[in-house]
Amino acid sequence: MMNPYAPPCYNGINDSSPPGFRDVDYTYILDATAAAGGTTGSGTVFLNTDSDADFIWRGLVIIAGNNGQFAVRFSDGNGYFLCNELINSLNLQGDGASPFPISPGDLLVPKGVPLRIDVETPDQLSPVYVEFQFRGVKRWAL
Amino acid sequence: MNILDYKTPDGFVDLPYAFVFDATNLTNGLNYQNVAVPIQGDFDSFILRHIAGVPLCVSSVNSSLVGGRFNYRNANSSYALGNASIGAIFPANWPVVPEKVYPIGSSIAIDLYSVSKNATACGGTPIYNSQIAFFGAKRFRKGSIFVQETPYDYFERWYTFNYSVTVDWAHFNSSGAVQQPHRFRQRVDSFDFELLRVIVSPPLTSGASLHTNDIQLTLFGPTERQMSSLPLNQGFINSGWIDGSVDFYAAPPYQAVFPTPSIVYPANSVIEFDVVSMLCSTSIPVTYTISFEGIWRLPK
Repeated sequence: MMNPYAPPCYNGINDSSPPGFRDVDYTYILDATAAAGGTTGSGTVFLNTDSDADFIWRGLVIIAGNNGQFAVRFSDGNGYFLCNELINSLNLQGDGASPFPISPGDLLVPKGVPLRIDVETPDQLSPVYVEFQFRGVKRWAL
Repeated sequence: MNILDYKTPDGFVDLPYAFVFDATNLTNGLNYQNVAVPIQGDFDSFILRHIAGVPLCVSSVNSSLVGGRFNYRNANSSYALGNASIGAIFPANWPVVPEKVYPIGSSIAIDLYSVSKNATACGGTPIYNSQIAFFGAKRFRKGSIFVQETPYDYFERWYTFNYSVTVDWAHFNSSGAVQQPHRFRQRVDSFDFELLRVIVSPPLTSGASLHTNDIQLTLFGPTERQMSSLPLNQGFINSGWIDGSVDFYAAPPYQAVFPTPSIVYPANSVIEFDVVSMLCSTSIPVTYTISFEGIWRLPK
């Protein structure tokens, strides 16, 4: 029986895989170091996605060491940036229990296609260590 | 289809359950890969919905993000997260969406990097509460277990049974052996009761909420089925908010709502639970209030 106090995922969420596919919870992890005072281009890193299944990106977690503030922007699987300028990382905050939602809609990253992440640290005097956690699902063809 | 209106597959029944990994026997500072949490029992499959407690078993990361990490595997042995040989920084509670199915006889294989077991200092012997709990549901075939269905027309009323437990025994006895759990029973009188939350509170005179895992609990269902493979840290199932600074209360660190899915205790049955003391002999006795909150099914 559904527990009304519990978050939806504790009670269970019905399978929303499209016909012919099976979605499986998956998280890509990218550990990166952004140099102090880095500007666009110098702080570009890529997440190399696996070639076994498409990835549906639904949530983002940024864990940063030091004082943890930097500017960032992401591209989608087609190489299009998701914002016109870099965003302060503090504005994309979530944690593993409640990630920053990539919403509305599913953001599909085709298998094997890298995601580009630009990181700027103009005000930092020391490197910023950061872990990006890309929460979502791998979409397996049945 | 409303994805939030969850439907257990036809022919099956789900009951709340947590498989617990106890890290007590691991060595601090080491890395472990493919440690198996076996999925065994009399059910069809285990449905994993969230993971609690990783920070109690691995070290904190430093400013360079060097430190404790975690990863786990699906039932087919593929990793649930990238970074196969490094793992990820894990929070106290990690939702698994969509849920993962582990068939009976499989295992949840886990990797722990930079083990650091959380413990209460007790003389020279630490009391470890380093656990990782895999919460979800055991899925049974219909007919293989008894499930309470209220045999009368009813309306629902919010109701709480409070049970006072005085922990007057320490984790270790005088010869240094770990003491057995003590069993308690809360009578469910008069009407059927749907249990929705468990709240553990320290004495009001303490002036604070319960931040530490002073006790571990094993909760039993109406047919004496235990709802976890080992006694659970109270924090993992305690829905009580915790005090922070003045006038500020914070959500429970493990976002605990247990049991989920909920279960129904028939009228005149008991909510049975075991309590393991995690207290040092210098800290006893302490009286806790355990609140069983839910819905009373009153006859129409």
